[in-house]
Amino acid sequence: MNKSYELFIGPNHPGIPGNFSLKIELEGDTVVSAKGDPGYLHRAFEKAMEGRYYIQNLALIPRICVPEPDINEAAYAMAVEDLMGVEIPERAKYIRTIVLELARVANYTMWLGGLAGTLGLYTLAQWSIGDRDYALDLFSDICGARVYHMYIWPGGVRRDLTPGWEDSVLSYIRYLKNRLIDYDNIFLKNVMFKYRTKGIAVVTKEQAIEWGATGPILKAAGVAQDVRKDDPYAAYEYLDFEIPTLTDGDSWSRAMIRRWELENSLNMIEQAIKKMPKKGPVCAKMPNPLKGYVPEGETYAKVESARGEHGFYMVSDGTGKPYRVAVRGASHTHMFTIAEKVLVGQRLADVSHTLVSLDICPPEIDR
Amino acid sequence: MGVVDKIKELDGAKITIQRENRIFVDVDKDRVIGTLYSLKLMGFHQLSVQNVVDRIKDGKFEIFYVLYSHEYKINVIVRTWVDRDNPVIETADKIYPSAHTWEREISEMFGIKVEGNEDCGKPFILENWKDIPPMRKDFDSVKYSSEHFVFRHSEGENE
Repeated sequence: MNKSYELFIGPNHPGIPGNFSLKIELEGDTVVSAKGDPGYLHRAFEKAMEGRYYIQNLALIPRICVPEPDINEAAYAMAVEDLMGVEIPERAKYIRTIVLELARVANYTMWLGGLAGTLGLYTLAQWSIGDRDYALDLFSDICGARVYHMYIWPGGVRRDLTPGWEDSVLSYIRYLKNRLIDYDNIFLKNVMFKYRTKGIAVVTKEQAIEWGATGPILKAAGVAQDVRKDDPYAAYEYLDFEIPTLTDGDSWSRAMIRRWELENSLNMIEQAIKKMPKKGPVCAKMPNPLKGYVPEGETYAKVESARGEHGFYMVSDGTGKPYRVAVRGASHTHMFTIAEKVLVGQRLADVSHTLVSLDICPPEIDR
Repeated sequence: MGVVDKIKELDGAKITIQRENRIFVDVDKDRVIGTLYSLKLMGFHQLSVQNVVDRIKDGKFEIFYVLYSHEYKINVIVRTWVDRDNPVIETADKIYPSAHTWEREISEMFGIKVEGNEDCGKPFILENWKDIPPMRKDFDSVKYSSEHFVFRHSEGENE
């Protein structure tokens, strides 16, 4: 009789964050090996981008990460601006910052619901995903779209904020700050949450650095690295914020880092609204998007996503379409270099919440 | 000596400083692993992305590695070129563990052979792929689609 057996988790499994499959080998209910199986969401974005004008790609790239699409728009726009040598207006920098942080808030609220769901607490999942919807309404107010915004584009943003939008955002922030207390009371301070996540799926500081971790995984292991601080873009250099760090590197620490970051994002939006120039252009003067050419060159533009470093490597041959665009999503490294290793030795019941705790976003892997 | 000066002294490397924290390091194919190793010793611990640009007019594949140093807050982009006719590189996964999966991807998408990486050649994202590697510039995705899939007209559209 075989001692071990193979189990397929996904591509349609409530504990898998998206269409992704994981083949695990178990002995009893202990994982002895785990292998990620990508490809279910492969839509050849990188190839498709080579055949479209720069401006047309904006309809495509937000789909590289469903819960937080704006990071793609920002990194793509920054790469084009870098090749063209364009400096975006001050007001556009602040608007980008507000939009990116609001997207991070939407991502973290959804993530928190996902984590609570995989641990069996569906109440928080319903609360936080409901609260995320209010953020989507705010996006809808400025661009007409809830999920894929196509709002940040080369040169700045597509159009100015609608009148009174800042007040709606501030009102949402006040609401969510109060809700965070409820989240803490029902979930993060819950002793069962601590029992289920403390000491689970530990990534030490040395491992996090060696394996190329970024974002909350690296911060939970004790390394204060954040693109917003280390290589500031948009208006982050004008904002006052700390990079949260913890030292245990376990599932609990990663959840706490994200909770901390969520509050940081709300504070950053408040600061940005206060400091933003009240008037002024929101887009630099750019050539006709269907006739303009981007100068020949190569560049790498990166932003801090809710999962870590998110970058676009762009190559232009001087025509109206990109010659090559390679996308770097944090989940690529986090799944194959980290999750496959830290899942070994875990119990089957902890597999789903470990994957959510590492925040694997499958479209970033498949692209 | 600052880290930028140390990078400038790398053997056989052509250095281009794009801006303060973006440095391109171009090396021959035979030197790339040694260069990556030297850069890791300097403190460039993170491999952000490894991928390929198909320079079909030059008959080359450009392979790039985007590295990052937590200490110096600098991105170094190492680039090397291999012949399109016989694209072979050596694995970097002993230096950067995350290179293992990037190499699986470039091996599948560009048909580049990666020596020392036992998983290259195994299916990764594609399934039962029998055409030329799809990310190559001479792969025509429109032609492939028209040959393999039935075109569906939208409702109300004139056929």
